Amino acid sequence: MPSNVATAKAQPRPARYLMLCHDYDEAALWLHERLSALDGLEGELILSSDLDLAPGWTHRLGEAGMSLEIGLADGRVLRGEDFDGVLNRLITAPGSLARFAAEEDREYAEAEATAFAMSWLGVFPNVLNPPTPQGLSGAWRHIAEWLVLAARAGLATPDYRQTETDPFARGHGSLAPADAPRCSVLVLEDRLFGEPPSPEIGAACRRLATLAGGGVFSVDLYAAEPGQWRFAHASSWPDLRIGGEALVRALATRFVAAAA
Amino acid sequence: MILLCGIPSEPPLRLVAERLEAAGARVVMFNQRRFADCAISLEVRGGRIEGELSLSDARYALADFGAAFSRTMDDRMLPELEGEAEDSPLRARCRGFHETLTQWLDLAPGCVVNRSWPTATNMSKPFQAQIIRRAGLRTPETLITTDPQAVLAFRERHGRVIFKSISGVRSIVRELVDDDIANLERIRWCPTQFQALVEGTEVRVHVVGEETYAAAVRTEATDYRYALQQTGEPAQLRPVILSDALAEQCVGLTRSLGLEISGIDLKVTPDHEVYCFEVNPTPAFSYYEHGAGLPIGAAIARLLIRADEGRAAAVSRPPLRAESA
Repeated sequence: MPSNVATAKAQPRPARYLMLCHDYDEAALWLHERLSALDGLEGELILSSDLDLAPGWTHRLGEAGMSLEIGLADGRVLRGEDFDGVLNRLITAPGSLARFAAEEDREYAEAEATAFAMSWLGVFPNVLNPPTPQGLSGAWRHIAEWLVLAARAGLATPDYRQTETDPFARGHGSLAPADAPRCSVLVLEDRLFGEPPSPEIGAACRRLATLAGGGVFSVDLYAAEPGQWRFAHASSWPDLRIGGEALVRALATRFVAAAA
Repeated sequence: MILLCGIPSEPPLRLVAERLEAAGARVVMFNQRRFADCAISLEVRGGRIEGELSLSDARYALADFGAAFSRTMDDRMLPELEGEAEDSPLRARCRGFHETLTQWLDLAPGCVVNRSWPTATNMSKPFQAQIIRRAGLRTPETLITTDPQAVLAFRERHGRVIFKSISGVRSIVRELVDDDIANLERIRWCPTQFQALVEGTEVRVHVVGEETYAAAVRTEATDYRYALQQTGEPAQLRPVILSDALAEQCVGLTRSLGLEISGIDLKVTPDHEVYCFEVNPTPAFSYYEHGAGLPIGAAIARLLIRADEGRAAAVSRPPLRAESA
């Protein structure tokens, strides 16, 4: 059982967080299980399948600001103002019907579902990781961009070359050789979780987090030679379990602070 | 050197190429339709961007380009790929070339009009509206819903209401009229965007760096781009001068989106209130240049030339991508 950081300070009401994730997202389900066990926190787990089947959507933008109300099939109603913080793990937009659209309409239907999600996700306060045009749960960056940012943050980086004959996936995978020792750390805003190979590398990973715009993401490293660690990849959809109980406590503290 | 990307006969690209040629600029044109004769390599070494572009008859170091103007069309739709299987080698090479070119343009240290990541904000109109509002401009009252009753109440409150796509796909504006009410049940499984119709004069503002070029549009059509189809008469354009404050807001909005140029759709009400509808990151400015006599192509050419000439003094680091949300 995680230590009970959320009860350290008296709260007028429990902090309410929302976990938005896909049904198959084991890392998010693990984190929600840990968080929801803490006193002083109330969590709502909403799966993409809940949203796929939600019959009632009302999202407004105007002079009075923004609002959102989602009526779920089981009778629950989500409102944007009901939460103090959100962990957003959606990487594809809810809207299962788009997948069943006629072939000539499918691309349009999927574009509409994505465009809608980009907007309604913005109604919630304190969203980790907010939607961007490059990804619903934070920007998905090409490996070339990660390499530029990683080098600027002070991490050693391998050389990279891409041409017109390379497949698309080359720009989005890990650069670690298959047999190289690996290490992953997780960064939540300016905090590091996991065991970096050295304090200097840990500091560089935190600088990378700042350069990448914050949020929660993982940094993967590999040892090119013993003790020579290089950047391999980073992801805005990390395995949250890398962060362990320390990440659970940090998120709980964050949600409680937002509620206060 | 300045790199132009796209199909040379496309009017905005042709305009900029002509203005650059008239100014004596050193220009290289990548013609998308000749992708099969082209090659590109993108290299990152210690955080530095390197590589080479080979066109039909010449090779260039990517580092020699101080500015670029990109108007590429969706490469999957190029005529040269018609009849090609989804997994054909030619299709894969075409995709690989454009993917590599796009990544280089996003990271290139010079001036790129426009990079791909900020152009993506208008793939969601309400997402972009949130950025527009943070920049201090008004946007129309908007409702996206699956609830027909909510639509009826919205119409009751605002009088005239339009509906349009949420995304940038099939983006045609139509007014919600009485005959549509019977079909409102269709939105129950398809969240649909409705907006209060704002009466007033349409104004298209093109921002080029720090400069603005504005045209007022006169038409009876709900969507002036389709004025001929909707009313039988084409829209009429005339140049207008923006107030300094509004011009600054438009320049600031463009900059906040990470764009070098933009086409901003405004409407000015009879009470002189200004509403912003959309920021187009790849504006078809030739229509406004010809219709209102605005020298937008020349302004873009100057922007590119200045950037290329200032290349030696420019920061040699690629731009950071700012989170737009």
